[in-house]
Amino acid sequence: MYREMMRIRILENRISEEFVHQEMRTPLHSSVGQEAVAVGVCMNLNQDDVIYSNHRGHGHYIAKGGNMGRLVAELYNKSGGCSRGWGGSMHIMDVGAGVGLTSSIVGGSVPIATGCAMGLKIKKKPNVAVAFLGDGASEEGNVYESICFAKVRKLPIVYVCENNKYAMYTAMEKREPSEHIADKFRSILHTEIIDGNDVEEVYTVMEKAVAKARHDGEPSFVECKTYRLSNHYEASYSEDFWYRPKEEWEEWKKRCPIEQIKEKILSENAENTEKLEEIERLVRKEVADAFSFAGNSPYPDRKELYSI
Amino acid sequence: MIREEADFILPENAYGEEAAYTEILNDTLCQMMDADESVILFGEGINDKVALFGVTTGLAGKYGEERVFDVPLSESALMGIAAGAALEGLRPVFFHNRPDFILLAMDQFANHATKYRYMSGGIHRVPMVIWAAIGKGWGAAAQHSQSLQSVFAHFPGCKVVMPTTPFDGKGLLVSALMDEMPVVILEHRELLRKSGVVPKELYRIGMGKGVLRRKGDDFTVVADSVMVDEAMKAAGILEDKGISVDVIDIRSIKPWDKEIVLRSVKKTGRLLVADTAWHMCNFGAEVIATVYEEAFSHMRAPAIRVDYPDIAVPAGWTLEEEFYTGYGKIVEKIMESVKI
Repeated sequence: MYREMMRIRILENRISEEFVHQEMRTPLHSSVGQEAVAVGVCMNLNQDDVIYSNHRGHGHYIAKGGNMGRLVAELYNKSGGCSRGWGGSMHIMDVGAGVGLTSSIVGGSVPIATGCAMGLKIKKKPNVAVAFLGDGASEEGNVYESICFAKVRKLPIVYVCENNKYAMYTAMEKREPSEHIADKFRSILHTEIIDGNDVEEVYTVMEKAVAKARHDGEPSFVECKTYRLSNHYEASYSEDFWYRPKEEWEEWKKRCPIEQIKEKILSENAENTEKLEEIERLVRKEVADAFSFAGNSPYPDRKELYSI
Repeated sequence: MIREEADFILPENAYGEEAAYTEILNDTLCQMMDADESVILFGEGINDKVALFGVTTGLAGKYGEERVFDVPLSESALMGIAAGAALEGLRPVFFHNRPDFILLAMDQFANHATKYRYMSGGIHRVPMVIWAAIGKGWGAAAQHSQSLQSVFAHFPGCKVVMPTTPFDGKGLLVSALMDEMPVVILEHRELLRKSGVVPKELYRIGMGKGVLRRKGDDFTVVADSVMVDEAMKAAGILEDKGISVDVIDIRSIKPWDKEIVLRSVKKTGRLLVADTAWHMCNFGAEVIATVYEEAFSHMRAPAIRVDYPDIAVPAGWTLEEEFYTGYGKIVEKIMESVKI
């Protein structure tokens, strides 16, 4: 779990560092701070289970086993990219790893994930679909429609809501009738509200939700309370604290999902320090390799524009 | 085996018993579902007594509710659900009684279903069919009567067809169910009342292939949907006045058969497009622009559009009659043009 979360964290941080060179010409939405959701969810999934995610999807892609080099190449608009240079950061995919193409229309991939679950069921596959959505997406009609449909048709799907409190720069209070997104869906299907920064809690709750979906065709809605320690996206006006209080950010920084699990691992056995350092070293190498892969990949031939 | 349209030389040479258009579509769906178990059908009212004018009557009983099922009134999510199922290897057909309701699902159609192929760098295929029947008359009014072909056709990554005969209805439905892109089939309620004789076996009509319904030398008329029948009626009247008309049933809006139109215009030098849509930004404008781009020197008179005024369809029959232009206007416009 630590390793998987570090893969996302170190990758996202490197992306932010490299962004300033303006060579990744695509809107980048970092998932730093939300790694526990991606990892706790995806560790319950098989390779043939399918996830559908959104504009903030790097973490989900990595946690589900998507190829890191091809993700970075996609961010650099290269032909070796996971979407061959057509998708950019907001449309990433890895069919072999069960990462469905992400949508940047908020809530847009939720019906697609639901249709995927229907396809899995009709084809009698033993797999489940997971739809990642944010608190903002839950305000879209498509999400409500999809959830009702999944319940009626008994589809093998889990809706995972990452409630990070902000839709772009607009706080929950200005948008939502309740502090819990799950309240809106409680009368339709099984809901859970959990600490999305506690990777073990996410894992345990998702284990049950995935089993219910897989074996009983019983969909669930799992609301994970989390926070984006990064900005909405990499842009100068996205920085600082004009839309959220600094104290709030600092409070959540203390609850960093990676620091929490690290503390726990070390409190169990102080000798684990070396192991964790070794993991970090290997992850840094993996991330460096991914950037090299991207650097060596060519841009698509311009004539490829007409090839699809 | 699926045969090609050309195997039958002319649709009139088809054999078999006469059947209603809707029965023929129903039978075609059965044949396709027998041939390909990935075909599934859903839509509001698909299994009720009306069963989309009879197009889906009895199919749930035959193939089970797993493959043929009624759905909640959630057009938007269902369009995405169709796309998601298509990405998972199924071939869904999403039925609507009227195209007007597809507007509720435009995000999932335009931002998702038509885009996944491009956004995935060409890796994804989205084989799905969206079916609807355009309404007209009997007070259908502003929200049950819209011909939205140019709206759908504007988006890259989809196909749009408008069959006008049972023969074409079958052949285009087969093609749509074999395609790798979202295909919108816009039937017309008036045309669905037709009957015809079609080959029993499966055959397909290539997307983007128009057909010459009537041959002439003086004028080219390109028409879609119910306007084809109006154009045929007009051509009969014009013949009595000594004007012979090529009537092209375009059948497919996107892609559309440029060649058949250009060939005819190069012969006649005169063009009228009769379209069931509003005047502004319609398919007729696309045809005329293309002809001017590619065959301007052959034109002997300005091209003409006969279509609907830029006004929502009224309910009352007197106003409705005024709204729906047809063969009378086609005859009038062609007579005016020939006099010049």
